[in-house]
Amino acid sequence: MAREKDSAGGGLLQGTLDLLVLRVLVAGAFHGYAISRRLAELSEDWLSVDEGSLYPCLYRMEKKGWIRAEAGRSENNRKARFYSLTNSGAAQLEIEQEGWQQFQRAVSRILKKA
Amino acid sequence: MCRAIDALREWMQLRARLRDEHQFHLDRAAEEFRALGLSSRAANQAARGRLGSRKNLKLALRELGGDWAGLLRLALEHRVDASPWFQPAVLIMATMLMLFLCPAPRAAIEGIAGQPLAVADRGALFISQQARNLTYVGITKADFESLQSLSGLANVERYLSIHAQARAVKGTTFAAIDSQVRAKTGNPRLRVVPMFERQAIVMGPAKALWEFIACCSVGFLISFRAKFKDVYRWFSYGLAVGCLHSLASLTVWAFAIQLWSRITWSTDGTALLGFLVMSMAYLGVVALQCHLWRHDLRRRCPLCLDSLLLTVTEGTPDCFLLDPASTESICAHGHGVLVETRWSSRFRPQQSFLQLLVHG
Repeated sequence: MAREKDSAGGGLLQGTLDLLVLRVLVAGAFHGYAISRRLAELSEDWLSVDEGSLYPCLYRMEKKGWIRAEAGRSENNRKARFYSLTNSGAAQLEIEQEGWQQFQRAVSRILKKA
Repeated sequence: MCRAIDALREWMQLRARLRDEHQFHLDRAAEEFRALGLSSRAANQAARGRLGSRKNLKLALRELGGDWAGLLRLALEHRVDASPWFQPAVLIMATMLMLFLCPAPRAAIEGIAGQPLAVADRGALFISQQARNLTYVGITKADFESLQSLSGLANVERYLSIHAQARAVKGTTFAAIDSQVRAKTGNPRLRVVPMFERQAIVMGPAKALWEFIACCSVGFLISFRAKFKDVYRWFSYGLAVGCLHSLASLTVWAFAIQLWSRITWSTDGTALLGFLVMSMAYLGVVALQCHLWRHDLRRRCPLCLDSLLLTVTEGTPDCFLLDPASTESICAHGHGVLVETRWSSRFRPQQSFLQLLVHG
C-alpha cells in the first residue's frame, strides 16, 4: 500500500487509503500528484503513497461513483486529471469515517484493558 | 463480440490513462527537484528513484487488470475464442500481418488473386528462354527481333536488358501468343509468362506456398478449437502441432527466399553462399521448433494431453545427493505426475488412495 518510513510503521491498513483520499478531496478537486503530496504533508511525511497504489485506488473509486475525474490544467499549465468528490462519495466518507472510529475505539479499549 | 471490443477499448484506455498519470507524476516530482537546484537530468533521476520508475506503473496496471495477463483474462471472460468471428478475424489479421511484413505486398496480392491489380497491367507479358534448371536466362538478339514482327504482340521491349517484355494485342489469347512465339523463333525453350506472375514468383511469394500457409492456419485454428476433448485428441494434437510448425517454418522460408531474391548478388558464388547460409538458418529454426514441440509434449499429461499444472517442489536444493530437489506437476484431472529432478524426468501414474493404503 505505502512505503514504510521506518520499522515503527507508515504502512496503511487495508482499505484506509480510500478513506484518506476521500477525506483529502473534501477540500476540493485535486490531481493525483497533489493528493499524494497532501497526504504526505498532512501526515507530516509519515505516509508516502506512491502512484502504484494511488491511481488504482482513484480508478476504483471513480468506477464506484464516489469521485469524478475531469480533465483540466495544472498550475504549470499541463494537462491533468482532477478528481473531486461526488455526493455518493461524501456519503461513503461518512461510512468509512464511522467504521474507522469504531475500529480505533475497539483497539484503544483492548490496549487499555489487556 | 461487441462487448469484447468494448472491453478491449476500455483496457486500452486504462493503460493510456495510467501511463499519462504516471508521466504527470514523474514530471511534477522532477519539477520539485529542479526547484531545489538539481540539474534537469539529476532531477529526472531523483524523481524516478523516489517514485520507483516504471515498476509502480506495472504494479498499478497489474492491480487493475491493465497488463497483458489482464487482456488474456478479458478474452477468456468474454469467450472470444468461441465467437464465430474469432477464426475469420485471426485469419484476416494473420494475412494482413504477412502482407505487411512481405517485401513485395503488391506482388503477393497479385499472386494470390491470380491477376494483376491494375487493369493496364493485364496484357503485359514476360518472354525469356528457360534453362534446364528452370531459371530464365534471357533471349538472343535474333529471337528478340523475331518477336518484334509477331502480330499478336505490341510494344516489344527489352526487360532487365536480357529478357523481353511485350503487350498482348487485344483479342489475342495467351495460348495463341505462346504458339506463335515458338513457331516464329523455332526455339522450344522460349517461355511466355504473364508479367504479374513472373513478378509474383520473383518478388512475392509463390501462390501455392501462400495457399499452403493459409491451409495450415485454418488447420491449426480448427484443431486448436477442438481442445483435445474427444477420442481424436492425439490426432488433433498432431494436426495442431504439424500445422503450426508448417506455418511457422514456411512463413520463415517464404520471407527468407523473398529477401534472398531481392538482394543483388555480385557473383553466383556469393548467391550460393547466401542461399546456404539461409538454408542453415532455416534448419536451425526447424530444429528449434522440434525442441519446443518436444518440450511442450513433455509438459502435457500422456492421458488427456492437458497441461501439467499444480506444481509442488520437494527436497532440498543444498542437499544435492541425499535429498535432491524435485518438482512434481499434475494435470487438472489428476491422471498422473511428472517428476522432474536434477537427474531425470519421468512420468508415473498417480496412485489411488486405495492403492496407497494397500502399499502402506
